[in-house]
Amino acid sequence: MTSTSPLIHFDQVNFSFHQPPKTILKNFNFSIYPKDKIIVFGKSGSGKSTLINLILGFYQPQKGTIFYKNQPLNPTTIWQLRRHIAYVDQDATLGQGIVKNIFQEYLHFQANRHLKLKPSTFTRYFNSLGLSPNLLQKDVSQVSGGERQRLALSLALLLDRPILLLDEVTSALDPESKQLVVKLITQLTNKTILLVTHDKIWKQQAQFKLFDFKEKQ
Amino acid sequence: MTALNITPTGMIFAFALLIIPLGISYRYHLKLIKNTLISVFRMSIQLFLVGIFLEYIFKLDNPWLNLGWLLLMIFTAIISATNKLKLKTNIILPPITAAFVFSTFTILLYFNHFIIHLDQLFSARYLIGLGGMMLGNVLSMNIVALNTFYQDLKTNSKLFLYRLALGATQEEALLPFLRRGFKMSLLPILAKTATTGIVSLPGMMTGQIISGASPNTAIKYQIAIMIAIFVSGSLSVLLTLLFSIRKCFTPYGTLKKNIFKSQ
Repeated sequence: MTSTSPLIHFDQVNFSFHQPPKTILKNFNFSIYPKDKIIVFGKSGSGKSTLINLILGFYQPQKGTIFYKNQPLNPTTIWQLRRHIAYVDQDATLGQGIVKNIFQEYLHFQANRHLKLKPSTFTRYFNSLGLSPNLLQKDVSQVSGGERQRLALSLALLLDRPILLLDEVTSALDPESKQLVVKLITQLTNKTILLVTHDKIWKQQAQFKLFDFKEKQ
Repeated sequence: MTALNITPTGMIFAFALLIIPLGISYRYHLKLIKNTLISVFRMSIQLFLVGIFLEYIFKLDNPWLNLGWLLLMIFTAIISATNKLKLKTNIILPPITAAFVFSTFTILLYFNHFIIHLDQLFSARYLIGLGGMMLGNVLSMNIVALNTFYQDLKTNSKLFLYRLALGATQEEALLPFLRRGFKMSLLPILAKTATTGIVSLPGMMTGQIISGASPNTAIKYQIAIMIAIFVSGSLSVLLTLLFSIRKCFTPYGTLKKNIFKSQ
């Protein structure tokens, strides 16, 4: 694939909420190329997460088209795209129960079975994220917000998908853990990363292209 | 031997018992006096009319008439369910109708044919009596299952979307919600099943014994009907959930927004 062809492309996209009425995107053009590292920066409530929700097919544009590998996103292509994405949401929603069982369930999705990951590999990224291996045995309800965020990130990395969509992955972290997360993510040279944040720490990362959500609107 | 008939004086004594709950309501200002009287009045009138009607139905014992009466019972159960559901009636009506009709008929006919070896599968006594017992449970189980499932999806939409985002199929994404819906609807009936005979003597069994059947026959019927109730309940819950999923989600896998009744 030539690097001139975008992986994900927003073409003249309009999107607004009805209740209460609020225009988020108007004639919006935006391209993500393979191995791009993009930070979408903006205040909370500016609609940054809407970008992610549009890419994941949770919202549909009122006008315009979103392309994935030059194919328009529709009820057929969206399911393929979701298999190429690893997503960490704002609240690091993992589910209920023991962390290990949760990991096991996600890794047992049809889309992930080929990875054949054993429980012994679940902690592969724990050390670099400052997480204790004991967390695997804990119930999610006993895990702190910051730990949950890093657990969701390590799960996303285990899935080994080419695209990472990260929504506010450092919001609940102390400065030390934040550094660890930044370090790990900046080392992922092979991945295409779209990171939505209002945390200034990401602005200092030279390899990330900054996309200021408010200014472009 | 048949059951002793209850004399009019006997019925008056039956109603006289209501003084106790009415007294409680009065003493503690529960404001349930009107409610109690209306409920008891409705129940009495309904049963009185059904009694007259069933006399004829049982006397005629015409398969088509029996079938028609059963369908009317199913239809009433469906209406009652749609009233208690948080989902819009036009959306949930087709799935719930298909599920109720299919599960009630299949299990009922299986029961009549394989368990009690009836020659006449649509015999009024069995079709209507057993059908009524099954439907009552199917109704409550489906209300619990559907309300739990869709309310849960609404409350925990983030978890559902997260699962979709990680490449889950529609069914994989819905799995924890389906589990919870099933469990919430099946647990009460399981608990009831487990204590039957010790904590409670079921109505059907008591009825059979009073009307002269041997306890030996009565318990066999009771065991079989409890299993039939549990199975028809599970089957109908499975079908309503699966059929409703086809109507309540977008091709993108997300929950449709306009499926809930406005509060």
